[in-house]
Amino acid sequence: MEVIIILAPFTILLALTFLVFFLKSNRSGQFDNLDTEQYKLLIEDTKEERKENEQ
Amino acid sequence: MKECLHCAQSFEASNAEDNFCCHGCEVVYHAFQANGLKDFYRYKDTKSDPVNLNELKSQFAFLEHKETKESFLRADGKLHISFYIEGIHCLACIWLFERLKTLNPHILDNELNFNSQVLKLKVDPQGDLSEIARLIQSFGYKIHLLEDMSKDEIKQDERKKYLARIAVAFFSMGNIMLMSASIYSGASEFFEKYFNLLSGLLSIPVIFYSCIPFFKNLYFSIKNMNFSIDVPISIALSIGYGASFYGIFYNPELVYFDSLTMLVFLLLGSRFILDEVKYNIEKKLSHYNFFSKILATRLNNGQEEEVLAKYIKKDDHLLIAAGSTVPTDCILESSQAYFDTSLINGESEVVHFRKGSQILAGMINKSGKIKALSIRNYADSFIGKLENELSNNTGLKNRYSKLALLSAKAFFYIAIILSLYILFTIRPWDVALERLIAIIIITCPCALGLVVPLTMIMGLKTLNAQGIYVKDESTILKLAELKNVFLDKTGTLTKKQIDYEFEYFTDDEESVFNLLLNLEKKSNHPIAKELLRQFPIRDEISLNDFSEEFGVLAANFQQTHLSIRPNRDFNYTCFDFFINDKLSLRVKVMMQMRTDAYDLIQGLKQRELNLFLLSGDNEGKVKEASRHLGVKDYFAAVKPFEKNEIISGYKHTLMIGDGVNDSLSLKNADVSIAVNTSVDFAQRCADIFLAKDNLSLVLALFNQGQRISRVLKRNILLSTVLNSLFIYFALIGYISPFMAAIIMPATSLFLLVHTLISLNTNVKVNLTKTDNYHVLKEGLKLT
Repeated sequence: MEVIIILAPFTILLALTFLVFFLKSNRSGQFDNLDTEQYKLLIEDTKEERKENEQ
Repeated sequence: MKECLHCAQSFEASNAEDNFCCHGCEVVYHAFQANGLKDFYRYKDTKSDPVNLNELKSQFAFLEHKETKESFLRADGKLHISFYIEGIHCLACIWLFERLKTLNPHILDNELNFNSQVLKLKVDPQGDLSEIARLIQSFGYKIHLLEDMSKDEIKQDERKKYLARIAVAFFSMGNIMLMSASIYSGASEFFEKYFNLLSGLLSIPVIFYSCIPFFKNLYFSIKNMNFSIDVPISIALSIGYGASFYGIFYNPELVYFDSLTMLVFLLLGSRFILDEVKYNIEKKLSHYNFFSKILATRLNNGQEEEVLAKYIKKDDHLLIAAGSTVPTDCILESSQAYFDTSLINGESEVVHFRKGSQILAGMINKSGKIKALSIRNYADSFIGKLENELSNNTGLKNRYSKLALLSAKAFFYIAIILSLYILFTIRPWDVALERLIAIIIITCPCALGLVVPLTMIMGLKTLNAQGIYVKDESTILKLAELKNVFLDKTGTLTKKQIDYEFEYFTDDEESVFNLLLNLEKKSNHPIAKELLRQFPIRDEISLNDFSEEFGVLAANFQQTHLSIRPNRDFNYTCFDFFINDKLSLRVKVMMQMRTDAYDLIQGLKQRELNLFLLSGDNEGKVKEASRHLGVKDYFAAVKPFEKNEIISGYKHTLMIGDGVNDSLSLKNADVSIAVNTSVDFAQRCADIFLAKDNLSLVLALFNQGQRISRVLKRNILLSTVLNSLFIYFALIGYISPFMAAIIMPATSLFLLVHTLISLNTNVKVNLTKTDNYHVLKEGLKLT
């Protein structure tokens, strides 16, 4: 049973990493515009943009 | 049949080269080609409305003006400007606005929200904003300038912070729950202490980060001596967490980390959801709430320049177009002009002015384009003051209903009294503390605080969908108290269109009528102009020696002398046409009652309201109308300020009016409704305005207002009953703090669902059909 003493903080740490990921993406504005960004996926790059991406 | 290359609507092509359904689509199609954007049509997969070029004429030239431009400058040294864009329909639009940066080098950043149809632009200070507006318009979109988006950005920031607080509370809650589950299932004493310690550690970020909004509100409540629901919440949280930390070491019975953290999470979560709902509705409302910008045309070194009226200064030379309102007090520079002065002195007749005479802000130009020299800054003029007053006054205010606030306060005091009672009577201490915390959590009138604003905002939304715009939520509650209704007659109950009735005294009707029209053409009087609009001249002749004095028109045609004289023997406007001083034709000017006016009167009478007719017309005309409509009481021949005085003499007044001349009384009545009007002032002055030209909407407003009040009262009653019940159970110890933490948000949720269901079902309103519906999106343009 004593293993719980070490295990419990580890599980909390694991949960903490998810929290940090969420807070980070929240701060970077990932949840700001939930209505538009998904459509942009369908738009093709222009020639210049394609070149930029290949480099 | 062929498909239009731009809008993809099918149309009859007259020949093989005809590719467009209308000129507008063709122009827009070529604009895309010229900008190298032909890919737009690859992404466009839906039909759109054909382009109406007339709608795209709205002017943004005033954006070039230096001071206007500076008002968009933000701290980062860039211009931030937002437009509401009508007609965003598919992927192609997103694609296009994504390309905006490449079309104008001054645009640094663009962001389109597909759902709210708002385009935000960041422009470098050298950029020409009016050119950008024209560029978007050239693609066939109708755009409206949005003001004050800085508020929106602050809101966005707050939202992010709130989300982070919820995330932290959620993280702690989840982990604490796991540990308390182990404790409840019988962990040994050592592990119980260990888990409690970990829970305590996990609670620290909740207390010092997630709970900040509660403690902030507590601080402001104490500072301003205001009541807020966060006062009892903060007290419960402080006592609860304090006791829990004490309990870790001395008494495990006192540890409530699980219930308190859950309370924090649920409270934050429900507030966040309510905020989102409210914010989204408010945003939609405000987009339709854009009043026209008041514009003026100024001569600057001989160049015409369009500016926002607020930048008009003393000694500016102005050009005032026909039908526009004078923005500030001026000296007339053109040789002569006619003005409608009803906003200022309530004369319903147009007044003639000569060169050099002073004209006042608020007069409406009834002649052609005129020149004037301003003698006062816009801000000091009557209109400037009115606009300023109203801009401080518009927008939705978040007022709790008095009743809700009262019962919330009552609960707060009950909580304090009960807490003291518990502390003094119940022993041992840990039981007392447990009941204390449960009581404080349960008494917290959160349901009231959350649901009352939601009820109001949902009510506004349903009204809005019908074309009823309410500026202030509290107006809806006032509707139930109304007793005296004042109705303006002209324009409100009668049709705007003037009907003419002709009575001939000669046989040669056609030539007499033609002579009349030719003589009327010389006049600038609005009744004459309306006559010519309805009956265009077929055979134009030249008249000599024209004169117009005291309403008498006279001229010579070859050897015949023609004259028009007003006839004052009738109850209504009437004039006689004389040929060589022999009466040949009598013209009666008739106003017709609107068909929906009868329904309105009927409906208002059913509500047992006292009705009064108000009119500037003479006694006979008004008496006739009141008999016709079945309204006993009337005031005839009243001027606008007299209308205002009459209304002030009564209590619980509702004014229904339409025109500029009603503005004063609309402003001063308890509740006022502006109907079928495109007159900006009436709209600005009224509490409520109808965007559809239909008087039955007034009845719909009454019905809906009643329903909103009913739902509100039911919500208050429900939450009072539920709260009292739970308080009783908590007092006798049936509800633990943990259950209290679940019950309280659950009641809020229950009331929330109740509100949404009872307000979202559509009210049945029988709208009387009227011939013309027009939606007001932009009011009149002022020069």
